[in-house]
Amino acid sequence: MFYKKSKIYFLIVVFIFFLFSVEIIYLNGNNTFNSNEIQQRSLYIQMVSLPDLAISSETRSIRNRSLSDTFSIFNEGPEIRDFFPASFIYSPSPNLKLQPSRITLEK
Amino acid sequence: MKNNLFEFALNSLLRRGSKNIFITIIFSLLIFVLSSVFLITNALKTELYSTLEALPEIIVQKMVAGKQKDIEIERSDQILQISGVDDAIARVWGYYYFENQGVNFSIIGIDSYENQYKENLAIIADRFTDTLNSEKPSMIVGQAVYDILKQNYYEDYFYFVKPDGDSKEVNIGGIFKSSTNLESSDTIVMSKELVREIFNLDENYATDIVVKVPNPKEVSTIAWKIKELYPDTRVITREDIKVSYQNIFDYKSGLFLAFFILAIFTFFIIIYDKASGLSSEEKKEIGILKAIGWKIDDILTVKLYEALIISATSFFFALTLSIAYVYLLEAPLLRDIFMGYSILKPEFKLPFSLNFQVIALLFFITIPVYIAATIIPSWKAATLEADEVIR
Repeated sequence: MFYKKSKIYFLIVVFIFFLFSVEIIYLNGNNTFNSNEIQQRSLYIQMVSLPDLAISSETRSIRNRSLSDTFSIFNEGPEIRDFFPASFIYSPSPNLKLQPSRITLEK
Repeated sequence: MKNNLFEFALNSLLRRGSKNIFITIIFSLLIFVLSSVFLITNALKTELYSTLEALPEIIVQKMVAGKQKDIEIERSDQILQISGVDDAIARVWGYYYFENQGVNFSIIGIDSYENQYKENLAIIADRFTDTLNSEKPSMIVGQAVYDILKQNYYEDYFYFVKPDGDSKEVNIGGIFKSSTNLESSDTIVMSKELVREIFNLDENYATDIVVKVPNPKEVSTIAWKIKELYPDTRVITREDIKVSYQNIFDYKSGLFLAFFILAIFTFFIIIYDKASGLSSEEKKEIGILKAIGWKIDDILTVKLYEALIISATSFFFALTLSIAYVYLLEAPLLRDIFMGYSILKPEFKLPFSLNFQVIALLFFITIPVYIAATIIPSWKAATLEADEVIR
């Protein structure tokens, strides 16, 4: 036996669960990689055999972090967090209109 | 009786409607932010670990004075002699800084004459013509590299500037398919000879050596043998890479969690304070309930229902929202914490995988604490004598 307010509350809960389930079903169908895509990625990795994701190409700490590069100077320092503004020294190109990173010189 | 108590709890919440709605919104927001961070971390981790198996078992680098230097190619022949090693390939790769845009491309050299590579390239790259091997030098680029080059009016070819200042024209032979975007967007693949020419590398040297070991149980022994053979090398196993992934994500989500703990504790202190200093009205309510014959059990059950209604509803509502935010909207703003700020940001979908461990973790760090913070003060009030509470 349910009372009116309990009923409304349960309807809200059921609605949230319904949304949740629809979301999960939709994402399972659309946002997962199919076997073809997995094979393509796997072949790519086998070919280039570089680890890490290409989500940041400027900092060694993410892209190919496990491997060394030629342009970072303090990359072996254990106390320096290996993050772009902290561990890199370089001079931005003179013809560069874009801000290359978040480093700005204080005037 | 149970239904009656539940109805009573709902009514009691509605009586103090605005306050409880406010608590529900704040609680939902906190869970939403926390679960979004966990879901992004989990999605990226899933992505990384799914490609990990395709990596070579061991990478050998030469270290001189703490810096990585090019390694002699002949060492790969020596490494191949170690029993258990299936293959040792001297690899040539490096970063090319494209000044006009301030970005680094990762240039990787492959043996273009090998048939296996040709077949693989045909599967993973669009617009691929068999030009890596032809007389006119060409390359396969990631989507983000292609876009950047296009912005700079290099639609079919690109001029690399060599260390001596000369330039080298290389045709764009193909683009990697979008399914590999997360891995390939900043890379350029071309023949090893071409990479050597662009970086001016000695042909007796390579950037590093990758070693393939079919039996996973032998990896650590072989790594140790390589280290013995060449003490000046750094030997990285796939397991090391896995650990470093774990570290970076632990660091990032840990840092976030540390900030978040502050917020959530503040929230719980407010809840506890609110509940322990029960308003005189609420105390009176408990006193009256006791006076008309309610047992402590019943009062606590009502309080438990109240806490459960707020916390569980907030939890599931926030979880549903955060899944939509992370996977459908691709987590705007929060994603940047994990992305860095490269100009070559790849366009990609976060792969969906629901990790019940993550959900259970979220559940147990939020709901029990909230319930405890509400129940304990009510229990304190409910154990007092009715007249004492009302007075």
